[in-house]
Amino acid sequence: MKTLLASLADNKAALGRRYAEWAVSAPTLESAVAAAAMAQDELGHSRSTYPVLKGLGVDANEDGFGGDKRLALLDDELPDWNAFIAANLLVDGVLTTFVASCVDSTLTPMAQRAKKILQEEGSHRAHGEAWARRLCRGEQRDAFVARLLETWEHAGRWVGPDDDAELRAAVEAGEVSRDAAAQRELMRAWLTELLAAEGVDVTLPELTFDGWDAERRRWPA
Amino acid sequence: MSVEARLWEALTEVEDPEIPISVVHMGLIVAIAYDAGVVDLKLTFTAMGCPAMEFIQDDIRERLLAEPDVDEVRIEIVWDPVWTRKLIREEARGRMRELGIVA
Repeated sequence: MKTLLASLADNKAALGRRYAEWAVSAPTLESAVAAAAMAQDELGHSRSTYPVLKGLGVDANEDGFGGDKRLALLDDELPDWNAFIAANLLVDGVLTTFVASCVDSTLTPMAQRAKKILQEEGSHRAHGEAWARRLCRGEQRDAFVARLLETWEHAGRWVGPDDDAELRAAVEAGEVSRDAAAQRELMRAWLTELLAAEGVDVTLPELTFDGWDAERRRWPA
Repeated sequence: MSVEARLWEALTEVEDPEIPISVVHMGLIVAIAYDAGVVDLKLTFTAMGCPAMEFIQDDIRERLLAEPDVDEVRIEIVWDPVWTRKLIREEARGRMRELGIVA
């Protein structure tokens, strides 16, 4: 659970930074404001998770910018708005699916935070879904779908292989309610249905784990 | 009036830095316990990314330490119960509407 939580916090810090970079350049004023608000939420979630790690004896940086257990996709700026929405849906999505699996966690400090994080993530999901519909109806559709598939390569691996040892141990300890396969399947079903409603048939591929870094929970690309 | 009741009353003078409503009326104070000069206060925020977290804690600490029988204030930030608009005290809603804030 320690690596999972450290990676959750590091990814939220990185996602907050990547969101913030679009707060002055999103395609609409409303989305620029939304990017800033979502960035603030992500940084808050990150900062609030580090004390849980400290409670587990991990020497965590509470500023929320020190860790390196983030997806390779978040190492650099999100290159375009399609990539932003793909991250909004899939990176934020996998992290939130994990958090949703911690609502009844035996790790009480995480269970308490999970409820608040989920409350705030509702608007992130609404933003991502609304933009996904919009992009699927316009001339950006194919480019957007390509970004989704690229992003899935990273985000879909975050929970690890189906038999991921750390997540399996967390499930056995009652710290997390869903294993890697179940979390990944929730994401796959949600996104497939979202796009299918717009007439876009997308299959998120099965993922292999050659080169996957379990210690940083990232795939090098 | 118990010490705790007096401390709750004192905190009605501490305003949220972003909205001129007290931290008590905003529903941010979850619990106050007092024992032998030490206040243990549970505090929540409207958002995990609230930029005023430090200011609010400083203001709460300063106001409580102004009470004659308070020597130490220990603040614990809690996220359960989750803050929602329902926690805004009824008497603050009119003021918020005057300010054009949906409450």
